[in-house]
Amino acid sequence: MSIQSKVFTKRGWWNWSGTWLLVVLAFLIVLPFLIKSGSLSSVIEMMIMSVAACGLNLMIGYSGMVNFGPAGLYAFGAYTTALLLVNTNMPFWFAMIAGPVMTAIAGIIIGWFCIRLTHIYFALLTLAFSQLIYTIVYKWYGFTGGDTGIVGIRVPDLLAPLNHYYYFTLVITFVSIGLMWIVVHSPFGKVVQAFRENPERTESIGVDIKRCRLKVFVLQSFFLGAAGSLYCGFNHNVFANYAHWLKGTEFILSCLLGGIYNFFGPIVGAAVYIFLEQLVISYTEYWPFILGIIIILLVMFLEGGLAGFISEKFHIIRMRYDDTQG
Amino acid sequence: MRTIIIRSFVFLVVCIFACGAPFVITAGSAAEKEPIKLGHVYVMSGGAAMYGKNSAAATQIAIDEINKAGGVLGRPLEVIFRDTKMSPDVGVREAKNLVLNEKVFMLTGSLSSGVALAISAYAKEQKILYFNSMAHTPKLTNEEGHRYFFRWSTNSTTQHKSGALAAAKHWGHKKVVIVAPDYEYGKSFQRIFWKFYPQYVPGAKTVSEIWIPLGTKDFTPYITKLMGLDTELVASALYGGMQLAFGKQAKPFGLYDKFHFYGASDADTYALYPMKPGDPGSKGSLSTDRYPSWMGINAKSDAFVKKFREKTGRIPEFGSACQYISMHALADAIEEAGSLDTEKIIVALEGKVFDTLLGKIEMRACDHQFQTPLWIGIMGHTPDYQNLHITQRDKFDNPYVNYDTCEEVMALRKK
Amino acid sequence: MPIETLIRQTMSGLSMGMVIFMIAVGLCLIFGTVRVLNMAHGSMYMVGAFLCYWFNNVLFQHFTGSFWVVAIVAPLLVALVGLAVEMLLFRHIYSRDMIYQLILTFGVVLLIGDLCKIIWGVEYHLVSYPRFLDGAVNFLGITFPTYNIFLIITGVLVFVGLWVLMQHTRVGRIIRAITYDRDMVNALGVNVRRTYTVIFVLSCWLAGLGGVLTAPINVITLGIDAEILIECFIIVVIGGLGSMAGAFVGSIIFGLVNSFGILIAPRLAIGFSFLLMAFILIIRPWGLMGKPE
Repeated sequence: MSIQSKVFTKRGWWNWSGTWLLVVLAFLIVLPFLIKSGSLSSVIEMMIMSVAACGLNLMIGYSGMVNFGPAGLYAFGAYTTALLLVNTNMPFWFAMIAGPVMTAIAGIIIGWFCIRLTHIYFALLTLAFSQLIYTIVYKWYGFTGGDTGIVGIRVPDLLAPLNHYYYFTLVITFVSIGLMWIVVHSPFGKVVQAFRENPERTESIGVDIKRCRLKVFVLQSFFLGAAGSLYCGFNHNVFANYAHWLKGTEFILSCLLGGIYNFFGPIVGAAVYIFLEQLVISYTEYWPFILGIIIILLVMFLEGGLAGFISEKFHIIRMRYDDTQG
Repeated sequence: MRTIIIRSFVFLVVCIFACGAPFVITAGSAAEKEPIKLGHVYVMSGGAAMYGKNSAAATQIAIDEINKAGGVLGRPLEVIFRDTKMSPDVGVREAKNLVLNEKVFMLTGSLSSGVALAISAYAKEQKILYFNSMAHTPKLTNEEGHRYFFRWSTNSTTQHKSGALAAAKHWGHKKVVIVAPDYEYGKSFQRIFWKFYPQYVPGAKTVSEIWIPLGTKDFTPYITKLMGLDTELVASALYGGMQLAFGKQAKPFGLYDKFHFYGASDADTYALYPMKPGDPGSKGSLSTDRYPSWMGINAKSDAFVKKFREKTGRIPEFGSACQYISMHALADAIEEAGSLDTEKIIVALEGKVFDTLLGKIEMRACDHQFQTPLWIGIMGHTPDYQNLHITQRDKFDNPYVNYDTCEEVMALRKK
Repeated sequence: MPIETLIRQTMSGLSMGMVIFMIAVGLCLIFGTVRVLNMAHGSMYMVGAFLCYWFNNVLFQHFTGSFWVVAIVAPLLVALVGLAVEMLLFRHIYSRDMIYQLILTFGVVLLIGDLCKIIWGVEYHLVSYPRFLDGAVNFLGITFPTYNIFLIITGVLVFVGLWVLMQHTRVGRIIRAITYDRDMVNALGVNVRRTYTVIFVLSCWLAGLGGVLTAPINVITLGIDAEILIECFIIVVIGGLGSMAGAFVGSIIFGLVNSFGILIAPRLAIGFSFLLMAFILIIRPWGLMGKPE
């Protein structure tokens, strides 16, 4: 048997996707030597955004609940890290971990209220909480720096050069996404998808839906907070804008652009979104117009997002190849 | 049909990627006559977009003039314009993009103090020049000031201290209400105005502080609250769109007839809008005007106004004027330094007196704050000028220059 | 609290409330029936305001009394825009997941926002008060602008008009029935899809009307679509998604809470609305007068 057919048989499917993963990882590791630092900066942003988007997709894609206020949680993580680094002598790694952990705790509280609701009410309550966080950050001038934010946040010398922070982000992104992959493919993940499809049936087999929803909410909060902390370390600053609902739409769009029904969708979506934005902005100031058109095309014609579309095509190719192999 | 559209969409995305790839991978090579690139980061969308567009126009006018005269060190200047969306993280992201990808030599711009502080921190890290001609927080030149930052416009200190002086001298009221937008600029106003006003009017007290959230459109409840207060002077820091809406809504209440008003930015605001006599506006109130171009300050100013009107159809406000000044100052400093060595340019700028459209002004060495003057007077209409402006100026000590002293600045930086 | 202050703040609260009611009621209507939270509602309001400026200050500036003509024509144009958007875009997504509906409306917000920037530019625009309404009236010891009183009256008239529409016309009865049980109405042979279009167009007309009528007291510029949208969301939540009477009462509460709130705890004003919104969603998600699902 040739290597090719081993890669494409049903049993070997994992090898195929595993190989792709190694290729991508290898590419990312050598990337700093291939491209300019400006573009490396964008890639770091893509990675951070993909962590946030994947986390958000745990709610939107996997459990079918629309969180319309991810920005509040994202900012919560960023501000936790920032405030610890500025006001205390805690080491950097501690502040980095405290970000997602504190956001997860906030997620327990906020989630407890939100998961009692469904559909549009859930979305509206998440929005309300996100805007409340924004308001508190904005007004508590003495503590959070208000609308002028906090700048010049200290980062250890080891992580100061862009390349080093890139590898740091790469590791954390990989670990985060790996963790999410494990969750999604665990029995818990299957239950979550079950109650997205049919809540009544799932409940009838004895699953405590509220508890499941809360767990997903907390998980999502953790990863959103992690993304926020990473961004704080990257930019050496935090601003109230991090919590504004418009920032949240960027995460939602990344998920949708990539495809909410595909695990890698949000990652693809985050990369494409940031790439498109930077490209279009360098030519014109009317990026919102272009984005509006992209959104309309996306919703009307490409429901599965880019990753969904690609995986559909690959599936067809694979099926055809399997058929010809006999 | 659907497949055709999907295929076209994918094709489009692939094309965009393909077009974008060269930007990512290739490195540019420098040539002798290659332009010196400057990055202009300003708000170009949303409610404050006009200020960004004005600054962009003023910058372009200055650059065109400089290039026509042979450029700088034999090379033309080129400006790249980016939108900050009044958001500090977008502002920093665009600044980074400009510095790392477009390889700009220096950065300029930003109306919002938050954005300016963020970009200033980045510029300090990267050791590149950052000029600002609009943001007013004193922090930019005080606590957060640094070698690479230069401010060309007034700041809150001079604006509000001068205002306090003028209001105290002109009316000397003891009962004051403060009206301010509830963010850093408004807080600065309250802090600085009230630091100095009681010094000039002993026994003065704040009857009430009215804080208005940014984005408020309906000021009616605040106006009715004001109408019920027992005060003599209302000191307001509303500006731009907020001031226009407030003025409109307040006029029928007779607010401007009931109290005396000091509007820190009224004249700047109303200078931008042709008003008919009788239009709602703060006629009769005391105001600060940071670019009274209608006064005919000097020939340079008249020439600038003319070019600006041709380009945009609007009258330039102080941000545009200071932006224009800063670009010419940059060109002069680079020529004097003889190279693009940032350190040499800084030396060329510090302490230098520039002959500008606002008069002869010094770029103070200790904190890089241009000693820009401002004018104060009572607002009104005159037949020769369509906009509300400060008509009565004689009883005031124009122009006002009231910055923190170098000692005060250094003391703040030490903290 | 002196009696004048009480009257003043009540009047300003009512004025604020009725202004927001006129704009929010359209959103309420759409949500109650079509069950889509149309983020582009704010954009329709903005288009109405810009059209008012354009007609009054640019196209017909030499005609006196033009304000009233504009007040009739502009909302109709906005309704046409709404019709186009509904026919081309929204009608295809009624059966899709909520996330897609929300994000499509968001896409329309971006599109219309930038189109307004391209057409009308970035400046602030002002529209004068119409001639007979630019003064003030004195009553009960206070002075209050005539135009604000006009807005209060108009808000009430809009409510009454809609109530009559809902209760006493065939279209209104269908709309109310759809709010209760969409599938049953469909089963009874009523063209629900066509009714959705009617509702959408009506809601855009209301938004446009709100934009035109509030133009004289506001500054017309970019960004007013997003500002008004959040306020509309709050009203619709407080009043009850789908309940017009709820929106009316909710608006009045919103206005009064704001106007008295700034007397009592001024610095917290900005947080009030979201706190109220969260509170209602937690305690009573279907709002004051909505229907529990």
